[in-house]
Amino acid sequence: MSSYQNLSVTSISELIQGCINGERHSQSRLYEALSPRMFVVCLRYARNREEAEEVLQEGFMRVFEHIRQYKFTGSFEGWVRKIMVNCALSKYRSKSQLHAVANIDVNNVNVDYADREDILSKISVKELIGMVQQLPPAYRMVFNLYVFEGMKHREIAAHLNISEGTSKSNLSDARAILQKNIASSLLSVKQNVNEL
Amino acid sequence: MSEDLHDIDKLFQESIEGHAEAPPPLVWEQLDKKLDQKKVASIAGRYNKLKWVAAALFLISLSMAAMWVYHLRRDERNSGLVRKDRSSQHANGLPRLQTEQAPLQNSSTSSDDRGNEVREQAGVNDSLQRNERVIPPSSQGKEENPPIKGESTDVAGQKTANNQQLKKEEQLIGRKESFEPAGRNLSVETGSGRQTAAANREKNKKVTGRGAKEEAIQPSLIVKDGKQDRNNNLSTAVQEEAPLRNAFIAEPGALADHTDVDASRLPLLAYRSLMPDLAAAPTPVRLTPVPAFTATVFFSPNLVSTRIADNRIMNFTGGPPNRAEDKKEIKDKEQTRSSKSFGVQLDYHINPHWSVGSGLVISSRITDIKAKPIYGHFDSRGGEINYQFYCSSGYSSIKLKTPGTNPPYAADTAQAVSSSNKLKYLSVPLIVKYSFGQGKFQFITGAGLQANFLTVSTIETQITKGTVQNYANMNEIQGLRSMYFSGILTAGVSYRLNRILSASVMPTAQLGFTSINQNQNAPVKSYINFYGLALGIGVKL
Repeated sequence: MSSYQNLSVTSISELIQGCINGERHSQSRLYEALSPRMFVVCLRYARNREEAEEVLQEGFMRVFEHIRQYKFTGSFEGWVRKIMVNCALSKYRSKSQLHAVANIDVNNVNVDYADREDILSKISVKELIGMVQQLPPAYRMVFNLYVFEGMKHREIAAHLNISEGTSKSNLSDARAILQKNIASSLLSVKQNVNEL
Repeated sequence: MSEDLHDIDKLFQESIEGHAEAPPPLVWEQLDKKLDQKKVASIAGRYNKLKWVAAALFLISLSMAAMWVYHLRRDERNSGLVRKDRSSQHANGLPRLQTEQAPLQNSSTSSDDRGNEVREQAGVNDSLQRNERVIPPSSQGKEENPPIKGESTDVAGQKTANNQQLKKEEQLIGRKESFEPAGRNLSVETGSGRQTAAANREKNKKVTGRGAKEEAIQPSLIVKDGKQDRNNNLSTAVQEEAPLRNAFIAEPGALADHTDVDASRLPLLAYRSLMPDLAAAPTPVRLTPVPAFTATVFFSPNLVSTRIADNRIMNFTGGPPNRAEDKKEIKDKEQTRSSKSFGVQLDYHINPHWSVGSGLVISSRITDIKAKPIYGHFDSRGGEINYQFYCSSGYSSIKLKTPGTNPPYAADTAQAVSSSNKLKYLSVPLIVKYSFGQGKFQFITGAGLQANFLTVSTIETQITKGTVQNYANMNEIQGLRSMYFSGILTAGVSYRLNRILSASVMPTAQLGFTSINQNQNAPVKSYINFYGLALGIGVKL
């Protein structure tokens, strides 16, 4: 599986052109190159792996359908990533009425902060992604859009059809939950080490 | 606290951002399948334009083929007439001019030499200007033409035989004949007296029923009892019989010196030389030519019946579900407001009874849809949730544009108060017709096939959501085929107004062979049947 970073600009352009021409081989190669990174993006927005796979599939479908619209200006990976995020948001909107209202007590979060390297040495990236996935959908969306996509609350509010205040509140709650989860995770790791 | 929270953001951002994880192979397999489906749809869409080009090429080809057949038939008819006349001439024992000249050439004095002398005297250029000689009418009871002054008695017997032969021909010719080569006036004495070319033209019009237009177009054609020969036949005959024609135009005084030639017969001989086929037509033949093409412009108000069937094909593309109640709901809620067709059809007449027609027809249908609820659905194309309006044509996503209106959520409900669905098609029919006549009336029956290309599809609706009313006009209906086929049955009557125009009334049925819907994206399959009364004006070309 070839990584997207290993591909030259010329190769990427050729792959894109092949996809525009509907060549399956080019589509396959582009998918191979981009899907690992895009899958992580989808995992962050999805509730579980199955949902992330659905979003990834739908996202690449849109990429291949609309690849003619790519103007060869700017990062192609960024363009694809934006499509993945939009797909994830669409999925979220389509199920928004089914989302249970989060009722989480975030006031009693008492975290003993550790060093970042210390945390990363004890908690895997998969676990971090799992923590994001376990966030309530609204929190997850806001957290992802703010932290990973770099959106402002105003933009998030427009995308999710919520107010800016709600966006800020959701982000704050999401951070608190994640801090709590990290603390819990670190604590369990510490206990395991002590038991050993 | 804020700084710590910021650290959380950074922690997640930096740790996850650079991470990559391969998705399971199943994702690509499913994507591959979806791409295959889309490719089929994409190719179909790409070939939509080609379908139009193909239809246009088909029409052009059909027209060219019909023109070619028409010209071929006309040429065959003309050449066939010449052959027929010539064979009839031989069958009637009337030899061609070359054989008729033999007795004259065999007379004691060489008429050929004398003809040359005459030619020298008269000249060729002014030959036809002097052809105002009056041929003594053969119908005045004389058995023989009077001998020319100074005619020798030894050739009289021969001439008598010739005269008898010529007299028969004069009687035949005496019916009605003249010709006017290159604008010159050649008159021939007939049984009813001297006729000019103009007079004969008038007579021919009466006999043949052909109009002045045809005469004007082909002024130099030889007229033979309503038939016409080509100009080149005429010129050939004129060249072949030049010596005799020169004799014919000779001065009376000069001819008097040629005792072996009956000068009074020369014009007739010359005429016969120019009209070799004349004697072969003993009776006038009235031709009623079948026009090769008829163009008909028509308008037809239609009644519409729609047969609605279940669409049992699975829906893979995230379109509307195939609900069982859709069929009943659509049947109950929809009613055709109006439908009409108009267009032009070109018929090629293979023979007086059979013809093949094609053309272009524009048909439209407006269907009123009674009030019904509409629901919010996820639209896979736009990635949004919109209200989706279902009807027999397919479905359309409705975006509410009124400010302050919240976008719908999945399964959200609104009321479509009054709606209408408009479809327009450009159709290319191919019809085989059989007709038979009674006086000015032609009774016509026909059957054929019609390809209908979708040109316009719209849904207009008024949506009520709470106290807010929205008007929506959607120009895109999902689930409609770009083309469908229908069969045509027609039977009617045409009335001939004059030689060119005719009016027709043709009850016509168009039966949908294929549904107007695609297998995917449409809640039902609709087969449209039209029953129309086509009122047309036909022009013979």
